[in-house]
Amino acid sequence: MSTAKSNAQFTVNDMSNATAIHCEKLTKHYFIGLKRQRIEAVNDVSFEVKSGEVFAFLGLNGAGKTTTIKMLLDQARPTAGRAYLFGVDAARPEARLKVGFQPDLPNFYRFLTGYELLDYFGRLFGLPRPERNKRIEVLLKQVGLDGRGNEPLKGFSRGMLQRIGLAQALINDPQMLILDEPLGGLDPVGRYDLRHIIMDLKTQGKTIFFSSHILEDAERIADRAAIIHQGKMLACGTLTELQAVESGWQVEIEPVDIQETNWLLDSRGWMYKTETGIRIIDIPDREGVNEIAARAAAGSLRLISITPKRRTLEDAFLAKVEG
Amino acid sequence: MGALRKCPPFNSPPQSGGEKDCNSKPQSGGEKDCNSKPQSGGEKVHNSNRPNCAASSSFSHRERDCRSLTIGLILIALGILVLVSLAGRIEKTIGEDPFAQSLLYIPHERLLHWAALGDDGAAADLLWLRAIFYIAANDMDEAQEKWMEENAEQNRARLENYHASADTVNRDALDARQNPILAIMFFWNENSPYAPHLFSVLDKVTNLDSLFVTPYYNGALFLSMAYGRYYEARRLLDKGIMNCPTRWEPIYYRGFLRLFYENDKTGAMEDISLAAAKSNAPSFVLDLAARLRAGLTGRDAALAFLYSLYEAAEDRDLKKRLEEVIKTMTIKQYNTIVE
Amino acid sequence: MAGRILAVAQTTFRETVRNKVLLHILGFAGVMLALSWIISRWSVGEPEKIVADIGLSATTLAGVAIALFSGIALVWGEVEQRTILPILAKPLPRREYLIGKFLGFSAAVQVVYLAMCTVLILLLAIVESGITHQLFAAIYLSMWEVEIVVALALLFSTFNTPTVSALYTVILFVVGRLSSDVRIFVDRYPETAAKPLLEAVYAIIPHLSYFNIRRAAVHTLPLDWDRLLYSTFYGALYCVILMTIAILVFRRRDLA
Repeated sequence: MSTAKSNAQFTVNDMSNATAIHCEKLTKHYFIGLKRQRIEAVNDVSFEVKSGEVFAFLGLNGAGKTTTIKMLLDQARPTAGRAYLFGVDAARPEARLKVGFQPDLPNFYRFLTGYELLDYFGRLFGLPRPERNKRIEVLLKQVGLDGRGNEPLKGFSRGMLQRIGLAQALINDPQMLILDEPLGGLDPVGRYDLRHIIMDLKTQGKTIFFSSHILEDAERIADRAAIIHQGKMLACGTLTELQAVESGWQVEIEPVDIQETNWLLDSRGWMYKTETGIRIIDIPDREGVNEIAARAAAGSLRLISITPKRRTLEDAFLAKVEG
Repeated sequence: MGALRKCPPFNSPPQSGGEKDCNSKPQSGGEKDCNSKPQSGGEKVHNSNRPNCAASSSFSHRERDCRSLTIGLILIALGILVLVSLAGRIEKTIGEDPFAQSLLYIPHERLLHWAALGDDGAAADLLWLRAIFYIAANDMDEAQEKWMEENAEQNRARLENYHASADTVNRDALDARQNPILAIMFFWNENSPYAPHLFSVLDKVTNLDSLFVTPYYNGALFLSMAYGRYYEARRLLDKGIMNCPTRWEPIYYRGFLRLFYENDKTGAMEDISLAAAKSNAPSFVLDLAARLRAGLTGRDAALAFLYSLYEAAEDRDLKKRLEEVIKTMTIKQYNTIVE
Repeated sequence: MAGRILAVAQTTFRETVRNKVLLHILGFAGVMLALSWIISRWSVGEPEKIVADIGLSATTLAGVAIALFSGIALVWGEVEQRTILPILAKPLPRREYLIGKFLGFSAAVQVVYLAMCTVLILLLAIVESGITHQLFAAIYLSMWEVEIVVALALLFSTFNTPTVSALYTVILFVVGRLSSDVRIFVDRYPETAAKPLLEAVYAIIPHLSYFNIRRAAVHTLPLDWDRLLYSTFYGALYCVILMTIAILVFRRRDLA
């Protein structure tokens, strides 16, 4: 069950600080070739990201994650719909004052050193030189590039570029970080470090919005998530909501009237196993649970436990994507 | 850590899969991987008791690299030698490039202007150099001597007429028997079969850059004195006088040619005086003008002219010729005085 | 705003002067200058004119080549390599980005061009040619010619691949250099329906022939100061128009 709001009634004032990102029916169509063939990259995507939360934007490759992020950052013009960052129209440069962004597979000017790159980006935020210098030292240490600030970027490995990418996203001490596939290019140590950096930033009250197709990492750090597939939003909500939905229940009973119990199980087609006289039944719907409860009240069986089955995020994701 | 692999014997090819062992703990920063260079010291295999896998394979790699490099360089050097000799053979079959010998294929100056993208000055310079290369490649001494032999009778008759006319400035100087070089310079001016397109090229040069004064007078000198094309030389100088009214050179050389080719002493004096009046005229022009106005005639006037021409000449060959003429005339003058 | 534009400009300047293409073109220009001196030795008369003519042509063409080869991938390359994504994710309006790019790039090109001209002036001093104010005026106007090519290359790079950008820039450069001939052609064209169109085409092509006073420099002719002034205005305005078009085009471009 999706908790995505279909008819957003938000005004800009409502969105000032409580809502970090607000998207309304974002749509992006591309027209390719001489025949202007239409490619619907993103269709009617609406969601919200609250301030201070870690939000995972999940989807397969080519689902429309990066396109959506580009529309949030005015790197692609929406065909329809609008987006707001902290209440400011995303099409305006001011919307990005409080935002830091790390692209997927980040690439920077290879002729610059790490220090020069961060200094350049700091200047784009209007940071004065003493503050820039201080922040650069701190950031280089924070991302594990301490002492390597004067090396040219052309000598950096992919992992190092990812780190410097994170550093430049933090240069302005942003209120929100938008990260496109931040964990994809990293080795296990790098991913571990980045997850912890993200959690640290969250404790500082920052909002983290990241896209990923690595669900286990998202599961570990995200508060809420949205699933996008073929340009359409399939689900949005807390991880608990996404994982618990329509998974069913596991019911343990002890039959009193064995014949009746067997007839019930066979006629409903429920899967079950027997362990030391206890039947452990997988019941897919609430009506089945109610019927078991009714029979327990009637005395034909004894109800031991009812437990909702929780899927992993991966299960939820696959279930949504595969329909 | 992965299981230890058995080391291959020395000089055997390295095992497939290489020397990587990627089971090691990830380094912080993740930037070191197992494809980094082998440690130094790994190449020392000979004195080691235990066979060193990395060392043996890197040594054979280096050997192979050196061998490939040497073979490659030898092949390239051989290839270049063969290429050069082939080129020589091909050029022999092609023969001489007609373009180098002829100025016929120079396109119209408007096309040159377009080809030069409007940099007409540079185009004019390059075309002028083209003309100079042509002149340098077509040294006329042998042809001139041949012409003299073929036209000996005609020249003698012309000289007789010349000597017969009164008040010639250079009557003695132009005695072909005494001064064959001078005779060639001043008589070889009709129906010349040589350098038929040189004037056209010089005309294009001066159309591209009308203020480029060198082609006017140097071109005129070559046209007249080297190839006997006096009337074309005269046309070029007239154009130069019109386009470069502040320059002394075109009008000075016109005076010179008028004197020696048309025997027009009055015209020559006018031109020299006008040249002397130009603001940048050198002292020898002023000197010559003064002496002519003072009534210098005969061999003295001719010598004075030749001296000034020698001062003005920029071409080394021309200077050499004039030097010989002046020497001959000076000796003759001395002999006359002595007699 | 100024701070952001300056930051982009300085980084672009650094990027341009570190470009290896620049070195090759500089080397070529050096060879041409040396050749001009060698060639002048073959001339009979006025060797300094040949050095001045070929030197001024070669340095201007080298400046144009640098502007062309470095400029055609200036924006396109950043989009393709995605180095532009973290930059435009900053609160930097696209117009400021482009203006900074233009200023930084043209500063780099002009610095290199002036360095080549300095070598030319030294060469002219060696061949004892006069270093006149006409020479400096010719260099000054050639700088505007190079500036227009910078703006053209940058404009095309905002929406075209480098190959197509190079093609259009070269075509406009060639036509612009021969704009005086285009004028003659248009004037002599019969009065038909096509003539207004030709007039319009003539109006919009860059009139690069306005910036060619190399003849006056070589022959030390009197300068027309009005021409210098109006040509400066023309060059500046043309660059502003080109950059405005570039901003309008780039404003709507998806960085996909």
